[in-house]
Amino acid sequence: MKLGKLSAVIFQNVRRNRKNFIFSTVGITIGVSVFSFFVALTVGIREEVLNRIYPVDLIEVEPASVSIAGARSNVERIGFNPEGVAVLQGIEGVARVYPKLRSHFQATYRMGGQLFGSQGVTFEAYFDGLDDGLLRAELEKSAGRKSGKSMKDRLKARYGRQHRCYDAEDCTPGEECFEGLCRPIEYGSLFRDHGEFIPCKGEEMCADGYGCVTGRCLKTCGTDGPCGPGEECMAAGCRVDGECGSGKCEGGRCSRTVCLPVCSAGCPPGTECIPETCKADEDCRDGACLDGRCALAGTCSHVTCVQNHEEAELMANPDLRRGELPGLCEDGTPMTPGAACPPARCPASTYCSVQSYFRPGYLWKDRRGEGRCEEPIPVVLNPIVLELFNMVLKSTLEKTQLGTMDTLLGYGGSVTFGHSFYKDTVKDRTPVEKRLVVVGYSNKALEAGVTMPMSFVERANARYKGKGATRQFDSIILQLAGAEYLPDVLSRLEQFNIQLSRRSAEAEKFRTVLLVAIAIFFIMASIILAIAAINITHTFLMVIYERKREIGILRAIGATKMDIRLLFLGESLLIGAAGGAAGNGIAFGLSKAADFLANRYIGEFPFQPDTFFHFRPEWVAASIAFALFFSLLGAFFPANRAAAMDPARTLTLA
Amino acid sequence: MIRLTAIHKAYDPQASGPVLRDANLAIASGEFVAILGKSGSGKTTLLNIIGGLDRDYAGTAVVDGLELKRMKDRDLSRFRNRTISFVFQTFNLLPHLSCAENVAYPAYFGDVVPRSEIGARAREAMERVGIAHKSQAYPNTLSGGERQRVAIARAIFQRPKILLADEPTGNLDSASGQHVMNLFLELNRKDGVTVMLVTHDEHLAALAHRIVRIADGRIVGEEKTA
Repeated sequence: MKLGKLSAVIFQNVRRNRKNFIFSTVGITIGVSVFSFFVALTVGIREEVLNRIYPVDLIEVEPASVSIAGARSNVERIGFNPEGVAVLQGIEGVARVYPKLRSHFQATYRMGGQLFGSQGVTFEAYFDGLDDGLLRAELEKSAGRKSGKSMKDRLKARYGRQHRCYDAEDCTPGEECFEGLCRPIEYGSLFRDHGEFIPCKGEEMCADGYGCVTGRCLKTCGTDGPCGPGEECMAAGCRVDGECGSGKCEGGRCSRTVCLPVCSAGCPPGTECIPETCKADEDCRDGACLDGRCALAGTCSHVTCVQNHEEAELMANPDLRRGELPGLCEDGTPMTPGAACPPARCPASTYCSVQSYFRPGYLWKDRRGEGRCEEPIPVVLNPIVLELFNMVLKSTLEKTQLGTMDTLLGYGGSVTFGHSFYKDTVKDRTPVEKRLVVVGYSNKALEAGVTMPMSFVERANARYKGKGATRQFDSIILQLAGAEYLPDVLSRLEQFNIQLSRRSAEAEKFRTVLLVAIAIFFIMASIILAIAAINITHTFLMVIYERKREIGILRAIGATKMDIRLLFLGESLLIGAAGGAAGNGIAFGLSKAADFLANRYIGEFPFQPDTFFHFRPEWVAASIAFALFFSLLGAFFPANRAAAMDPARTLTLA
Repeated sequence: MIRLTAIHKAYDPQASGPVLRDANLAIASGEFVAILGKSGSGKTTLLNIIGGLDRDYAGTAVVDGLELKRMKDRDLSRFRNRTISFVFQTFNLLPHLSCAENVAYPAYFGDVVPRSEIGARAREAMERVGIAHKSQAYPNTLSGGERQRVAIARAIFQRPKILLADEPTGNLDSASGQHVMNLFLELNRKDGVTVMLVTHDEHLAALAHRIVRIADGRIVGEEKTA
């Protein structure tokens, strides 16, 4: 019997037996609605709440606090270092590995402006560092995804209506000057270590691979480097041995070579090109010594600036943070005594970082003094921050709700390294204040703090806690290729004597609880559907008894046993499909009602989703498949019984 | 066309005796044969065996060259769909279908009639039996004679070679019965359909070419009619 004809006969039978059909469908509908409602609730809580707090495809691992290597023979130890990272990167299902370095010293944040008001708020700072290259790529990618275009296309689209500019001052806030045209700031691309100046007094204050040269930690190098882009390996100028760390000052230059930014690559904002000193042409790498300075060779050095304004003025007018460049007019000409001219200031994207402002008892009251033009330290926030602000701080500080994380991009604040409200663990190390700017958000960022470029955190850790604080990563974040790889990756990690971070372990527990919940609802729904299947069996047996003669007639006019079987199974499939659809419809309606009641009576709470329910297509499909299965199961025995009927007897005796 | 050899059938040998005993019968193509016997003599059982509805018997039944007992269910169903047709005493129409749908119903279970021709063929069958004006009516709105004509239209819809009629006039008044018999005769004469009529009515049996008498499961005699 062809499918089209079979379907026609099935629909005919359903039409004339509506009562039985509806009666049989009720049980299936109830079972499916229970299943779909609770699964959607569980999945909704997992995806709308839990995954926002604990992303399912991210796990963070730490070295095991108690070694169990001795008790197990198959343990492969890996270090929390670049080699260990390479091993973890090789695990199947791991898409990317993000080593993490936590801050090992105290610091405090000072936030003001649009979020915290002109008076500002100060609180203990927590921060960590992630590889800036990896995170920057992610930030740029997500920015591109959001706009739906590549960075190049976005710029191209905007060029037609962009303003021409000389520097960022010519552009409106939120824009930067790029190749003579204003463009929106690509905040994600700013997540890089700008080499912020952290003063040092000895080698111990610098991270491994760095030397304390000319009062700051600089990367040491051999003849060929390795140095970063825009840097060259060279001997820094000096006056005395103490300026060269473990090296010596010979002939005005340190005996050990370090990576220095060179002018030929263009100096970054806040720095200027300082030509190398020379006595003869052969002292210059370019071979041209003019008036004691090399004509073309030089290194980029932070521009010296002066901050003459107090904290209250800076809070009221953030632009004043750019300070003044001593002896220089705004147009670049030297200041002449007696002739007034507007002073030159640090470049628009930078601020005057005052190093000597800190005096106990005067904290945040007096920032005046000499400093250097520097770019703010770029930081990345975890989206959780938005929830915390909206749910906790918003009402406390009487502020308006923040819409999206994008509203925080470009927001600035200060961090004072080496200062704490709790205890002073950084004796003999002068606190240093730096500006921060929010350049992006990522679920890999620290939840209750900020994430900075790892190399900066590495340098800061060494500066305040010594070299030992920088030798190992504190944890490693594994980005999985998909949530389905989680069990395999976890079992592989067990072999490395490393453990899930407290946070990831909690996430695992929650997920397990939700899985158990799904299993319970599955069992509940199965019981209801099994009862529905028994009901279908009973109904079909009655129907078959009533249709005995009809079955005989069908057999007499050419229906095969299989045709008879398919007719009843087809009817049961319709019952299952109708019950599945109705059950899902009822579950959806109930979910809307539950959301409405929750919004009305529970009130707001952190990470509150728009809906607690997530009807995933695969689960809806599964519930319908479930309904079809139980309907078929219920009809299987009656259908076989109908097919096995003796047609001669049914026609004679019926 | 039909050859039965040593057919033996018993429903429950312990409780009652066999329904058919050593029945031998041969019917040629185009013949009109009446099986005459009292109630319970085994007439309907014989018909069910020939129609492939009953396979639980001893002996050999060959119809249109096919040994029915050896056929698979699928082939036997096709045989019932294409080669033979039944007309029952109780009409056996499906009450939820209209007359036209009842007539065309065999087409659902076979592919003898192309989909595009089903309507026309059903109409033709109904015109043939004089019931076309009731095509959209439902069986429970028709008289017995009309229902039987619908049943005959269904039986001839697939243009079978053999028509098996089991007391087709049993529930009809004499005028309707005569009308039905005339239809069978016409089908036999004009279309060459082999007709096997089961009846206990001597007068109706006399209309056939040959009468086969059956009593207590045995074929007790055969006679040609005039």
